Amino acid sequence: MSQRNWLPHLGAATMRLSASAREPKAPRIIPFSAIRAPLFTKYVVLFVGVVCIALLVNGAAQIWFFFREHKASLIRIQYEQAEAAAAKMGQFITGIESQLGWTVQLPWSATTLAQRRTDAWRLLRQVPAVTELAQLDPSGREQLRVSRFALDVVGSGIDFANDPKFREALAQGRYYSEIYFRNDSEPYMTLALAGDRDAGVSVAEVNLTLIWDVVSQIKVGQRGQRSRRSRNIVSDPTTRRW
Amino acid sequence: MHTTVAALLRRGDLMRRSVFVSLIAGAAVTWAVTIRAQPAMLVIGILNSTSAASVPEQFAPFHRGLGEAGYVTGQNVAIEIRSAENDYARLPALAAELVRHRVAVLVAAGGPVAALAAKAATAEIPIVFTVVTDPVKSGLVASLKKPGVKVTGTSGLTSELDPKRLELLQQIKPGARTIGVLVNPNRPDVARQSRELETAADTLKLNLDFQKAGMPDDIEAAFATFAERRLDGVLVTADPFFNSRRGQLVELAKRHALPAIYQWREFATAGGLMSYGPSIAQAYHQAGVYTGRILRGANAAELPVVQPTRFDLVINIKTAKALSLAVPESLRMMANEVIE
Repeated sequence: MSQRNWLPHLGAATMRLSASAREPKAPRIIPFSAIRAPLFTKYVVLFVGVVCIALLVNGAAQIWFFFREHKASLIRIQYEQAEAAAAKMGQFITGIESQLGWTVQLPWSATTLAQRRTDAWRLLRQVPAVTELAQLDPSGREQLRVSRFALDVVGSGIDFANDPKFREALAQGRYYSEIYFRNDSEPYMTLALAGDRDAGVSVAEVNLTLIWDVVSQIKVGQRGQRSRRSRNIVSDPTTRRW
Repeated sequence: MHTTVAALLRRGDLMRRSVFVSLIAGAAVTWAVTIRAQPAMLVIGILNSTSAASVPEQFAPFHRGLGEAGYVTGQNVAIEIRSAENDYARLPALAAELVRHRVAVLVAAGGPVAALAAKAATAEIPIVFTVVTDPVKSGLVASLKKPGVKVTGTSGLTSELDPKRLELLQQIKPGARTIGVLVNPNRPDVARQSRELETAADTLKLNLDFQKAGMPDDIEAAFATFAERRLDGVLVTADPFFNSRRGQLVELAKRHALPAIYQWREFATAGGLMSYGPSIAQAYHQAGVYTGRILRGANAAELPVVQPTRFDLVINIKTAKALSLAVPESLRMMANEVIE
């Protein structure tokens, strides 16, 4: 580049230098000529921003509503399933109760133990879910215990007078125990029923396996939880029988 | 290929992209179907402690259970049977043979002996056992609910019900004093079985006369002893060996005019006086169902051991009449089945 040629450049640079010297705070104030193009960009950014936020908020709201709706319907379905299962459980227990009813119809003094034993065996034959039946005399002593697995016990005289299954059955007519497990896997429940007069109390151990499939089909997480008459029944879907 | 994908994605052509995605998905499904449809005949190994020919009716419900899971023998599943013919010492070798055969599931039929031999032979192949008295006590599973190992099946109250059978026998023959008890000395828990029976006999005020029989000839000798000592009745204890000799036992009881009680319903229908216990047919059916489920991919370690819920008392009135026994009305009432 020759000297002549670069002189005008020098002149331009000097001019620019002098301009910046006159307005030392130019970058902060933003000169009028520099604003035009960024303004358009700003509108675009603002517009896009507003639209995006609106979309995001809308989307989030939709997701939230959908989630709530979905959760509500899931809860509704599970509640209905639970209701149906509870109804079936109720039916099952009521059926057993009515069968148990005729073992406490006659007053204690009117029957012999041999008769009661035959009756107890008839009950076991009629109701496969009952695995054991004990009969307590009006004073709360066990006079008979008939079982599918163990030897029958006649006149053991074990005192159940202070046992809730005797006391509650006398006071309220019937007693339901908590659910308990035998052999770590079989769900059972104790059901006691008192007769009208001095008929004593019949105590049945009920194997819930037969009804368990109904309950265990309902799943809440890993394990289901259902209640019947304020008693919690924990359903475990892995428990099955043949 | 990559450039096409990139171009499609870059252009953001929704239509084209959805076509591309569905093509990929379609390819994946086709691939999965081809994998599934690969013709591979699965093999079920059955390890039997007795002889399969002696108890054919047990395997009919097993096949039915298998069919419910979608498996039909000869069509999509093959069966390899190894029977020890009551010689329990042969079981480990037979189990090893089935393991070498690379069976998909190993079914142990006939009590705890077969199940224990199968478990000792493999930890890889899932095992389904049928009718084991107490699978926890015999060390087969950690718990009934969750076996923990690849072993599951059906537990039955088998020898646990022997004391109850003693009681029922006493009811059909009131005034009985001495009862003969036939036990299999090769049974792993024979000592416990005998102890429990002694305790029950004390309660029932009965005397017991134990006779051991592990082979068919022993049965003959034991019954001769029972007859000679003029016993009031015989309890044939729960054991797969006795089940496999059903015909012989019923015949001997008849010949020596001994009232006897057995484990399974099939004894009473074959002419035995009475039986009390769960249903063996149901147990084998359940074993078939479990085998099918395991073939479909279920984890045996997660399948709970299934327990019986029904216990049936069966009385053969014809046999009672032949023995000139009057069946008490109370016992008749208890019976779930009366064979006239």
